[in-house]
Amino acid sequence: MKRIEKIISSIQTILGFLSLLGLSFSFYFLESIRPKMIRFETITAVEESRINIFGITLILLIAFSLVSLYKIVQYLKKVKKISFYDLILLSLAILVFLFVFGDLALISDIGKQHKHGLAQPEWFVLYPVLGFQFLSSAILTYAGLFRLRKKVKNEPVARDINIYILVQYVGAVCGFLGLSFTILNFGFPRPLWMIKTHITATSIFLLIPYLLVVLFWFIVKIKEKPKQWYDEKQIQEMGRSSLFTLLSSVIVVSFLFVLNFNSLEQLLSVLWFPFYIFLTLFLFCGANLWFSFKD
Amino acid sequence: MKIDNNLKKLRFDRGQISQQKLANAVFVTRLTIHSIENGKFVPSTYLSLKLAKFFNVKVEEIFFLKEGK
Repeated sequence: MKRIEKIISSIQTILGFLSLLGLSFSFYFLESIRPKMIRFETITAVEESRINIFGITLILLIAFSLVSLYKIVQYLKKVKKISFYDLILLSLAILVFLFVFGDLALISDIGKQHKHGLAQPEWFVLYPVLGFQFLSSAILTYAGLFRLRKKVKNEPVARDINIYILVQYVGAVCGFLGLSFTILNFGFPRPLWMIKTHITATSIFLLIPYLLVVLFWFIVKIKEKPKQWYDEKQIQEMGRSSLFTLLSSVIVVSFLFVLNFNSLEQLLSVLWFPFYIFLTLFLFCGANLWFSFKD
Repeated sequence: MKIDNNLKKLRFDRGQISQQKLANAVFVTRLTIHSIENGKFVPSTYLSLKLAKFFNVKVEEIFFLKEGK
């Protein structure tokens, strides 16, 4: 293992343990102020200052998930076949990253509702999310120590396939999450201003992991010699996936258009774009994966 | 009629060349070689010529038409 890789592995482990520590403290701290906040009691200055540690924990979680994502991608680049366990690790790193923005939104809503004397049902969402992040961070730290450091002895690869497959997996996961989020907004409509505020930020956050993996693939391709973006089977697969995506998205979007014909100026006017982006991302990447393994 | 090939046989006849080694030589992915061998993917003329050159045989010795559905 190169020296830089060893350093990154150590950073991942340290960030993992710090995140776990920070999350444990956050549980303890949040549970100590929750009864007071529910009863609309004033939070002392000391208690308020402790919220900074929760903020630092979230920053640690962002750094940890990004370093873990990098380590997983580096590991998957070398393995002969991407296993189901590897895909779970990849999904966990993406979810830990994305849920940080969920934590921020939830804690900010709780703070606002406490200030205005309103009920705070967000507590019951915040705890499971933090619990999931704790468990995922523990698994990723363990994997960083015992799996991702393993030396993988394989034949040299002139033309990489794993990164291409990985981009499709991440695209399918991000597309699915974005699509689910948009559909939830259709199913459980909230005030339009609230959807407008949340949908833009959420869409950007949901696209970040995909953009990062695409960037990594781009760097790998730039280094590859002779330079050729795709091999001919991948070009064929992408052609078939594009046709499938075009036909499916036209059908789904037409259906949506007809369903909302009388209320186009409302919900659909805000949600059509993220819906379309995530739908095409999910269909295209999913179809690419299907064709890659089918043939 | 469909296109069949002797790629797998050639690989084994020439000293058990791995799919990855062949893929590296003709600069495609291992999955592409795997799909050609299974008859799921028909390569371009360019790739067929590269494969023939690698094995030092004529293209027809690797790829041929086969009667059937």
